[in-house]
Amino acid sequence: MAKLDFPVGPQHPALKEPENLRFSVDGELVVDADIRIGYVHRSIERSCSERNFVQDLYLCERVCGICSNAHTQNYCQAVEAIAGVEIPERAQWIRMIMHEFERIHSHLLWLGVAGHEIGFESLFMYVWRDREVIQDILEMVSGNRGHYAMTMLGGVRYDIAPEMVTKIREGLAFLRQRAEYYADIATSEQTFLERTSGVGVVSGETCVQLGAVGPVLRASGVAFDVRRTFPYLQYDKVEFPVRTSELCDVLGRTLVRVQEVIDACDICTQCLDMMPEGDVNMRFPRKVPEGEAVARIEAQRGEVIYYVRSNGTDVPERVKIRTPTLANLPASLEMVKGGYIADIPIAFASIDPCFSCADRMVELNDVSSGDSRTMTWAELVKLSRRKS
Amino acid sequence: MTAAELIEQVQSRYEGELTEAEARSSVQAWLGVPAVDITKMAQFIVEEWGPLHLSTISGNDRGDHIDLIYHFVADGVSLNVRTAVDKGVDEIETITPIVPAAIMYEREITDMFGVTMAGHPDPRRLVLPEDWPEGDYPLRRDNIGAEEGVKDNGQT
Repeated sequence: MAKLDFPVGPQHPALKEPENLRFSVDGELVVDADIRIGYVHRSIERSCSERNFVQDLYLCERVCGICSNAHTQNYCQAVEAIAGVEIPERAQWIRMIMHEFERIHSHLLWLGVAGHEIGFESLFMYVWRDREVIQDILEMVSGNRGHYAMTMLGGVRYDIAPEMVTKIREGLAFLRQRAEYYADIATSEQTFLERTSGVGVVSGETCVQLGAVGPVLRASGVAFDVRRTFPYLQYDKVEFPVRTSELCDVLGRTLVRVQEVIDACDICTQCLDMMPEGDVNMRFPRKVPEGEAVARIEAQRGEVIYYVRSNGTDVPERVKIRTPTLANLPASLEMVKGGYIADIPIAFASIDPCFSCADRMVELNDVSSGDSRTMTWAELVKLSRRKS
Repeated sequence: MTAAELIEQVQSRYEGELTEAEARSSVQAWLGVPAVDITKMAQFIVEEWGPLHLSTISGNDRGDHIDLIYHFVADGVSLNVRTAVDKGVDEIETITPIVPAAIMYEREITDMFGVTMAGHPDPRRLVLPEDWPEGDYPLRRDNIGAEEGVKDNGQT
């Protein structure tokens, strides 16, 4: 059978974030994959060097809607390193708690989406119902369900009051128990296993070569976690395992993420126990001395790295941001190669890409005959579900 | 391994010019090499510390030259290698054949700073659209928004 070139995206009325993927297929098998990004390039890096350090905080918060807290924390970490400022200890613990809250909400969101992509709608409904618990906690602590605006230069904006702590502990206990239940489902439910086991395989060696990060890298057996390799905040004082899996497939990535939810609940509980009393923020100088700093953080999707250079004024000379999705793209292309068309949605979703995978326009083009037929992402997802 | 030990190892075993060698903390090492030696340095790092993680490549317009900083993670140390590409030369050899993870980051540098990666296996544009004007590089400091492309770059 002739090879088909098969573009996905970028434009569709229902698309939240457009990206263009191109697959070469031989029958049902994907033989080659390519990606074209940049449709939502917002020049945040350039804008950062035209605004002052405080204004940049708001820009960095908006790099991503899901890992917004990780970006502001990482930015603050870099700027505080240049200024040589040590923030109050209580603020460090609160930053850690926010960081882990965000991991819980993001991994649960991902698990729901993964269920949706393979047509396991009841999993999607259950997970997203439980996710409301952590969303309510985030709203209680920061006032917002997304874009928490919790981190500021020199600390955090709000304190966690004693009456909140009781509610947080109750919520975490519930979420931990639910996460254990989902871990059980992921390893025992036949529908889930058939669609995830052996799908989107990429070896640990390839992952390291291609620079993959986060759960994708760990699910291929490489124990790289920034929280362990370069401990920031108070991560050297809490106990947590670096979760890895030797499965190298979508199932492995699911297990790593679900176990990280359990770990995140435990880390939060430890933080609440060990958090000292004190100030939660301090005065931060408007001008930052000349210098440069590199800061890494383990966001829920993987390592985020910021490079900030200051020239002694109140405007940074350069802010460089690298998000985990860009690092995971080369590995994700390897995942779909050799797999079936119907497995594309779940394989791509398994890297937890920042661009939305919903409702794309797909065109199947027969190169040899010039025949072309058009298929929506919804139809592709339907094809994916028929396989279930 | 600590950053100081890493720097020591580089100084004793790397045969070539080093423009900078500093351990800023126990886990952060900074090295500098001339632009012509970047593949030699990358080769050295890969041979010494095996297949290693490349976090990203940062570019920065410093007036007469463009700074490129390669952020590696070598044996638990954040290893940052700086090199300077003079404006007018605007070219550096690619490290993608040695460190495959550089493929996307090098394309981004070419797009944003106009530094061509000689020998890059996939030199297409990464983030800029196909119809972006040639010779217009958004992250260069002399760029104030081209006639086409960005029409209003916050100037009005």
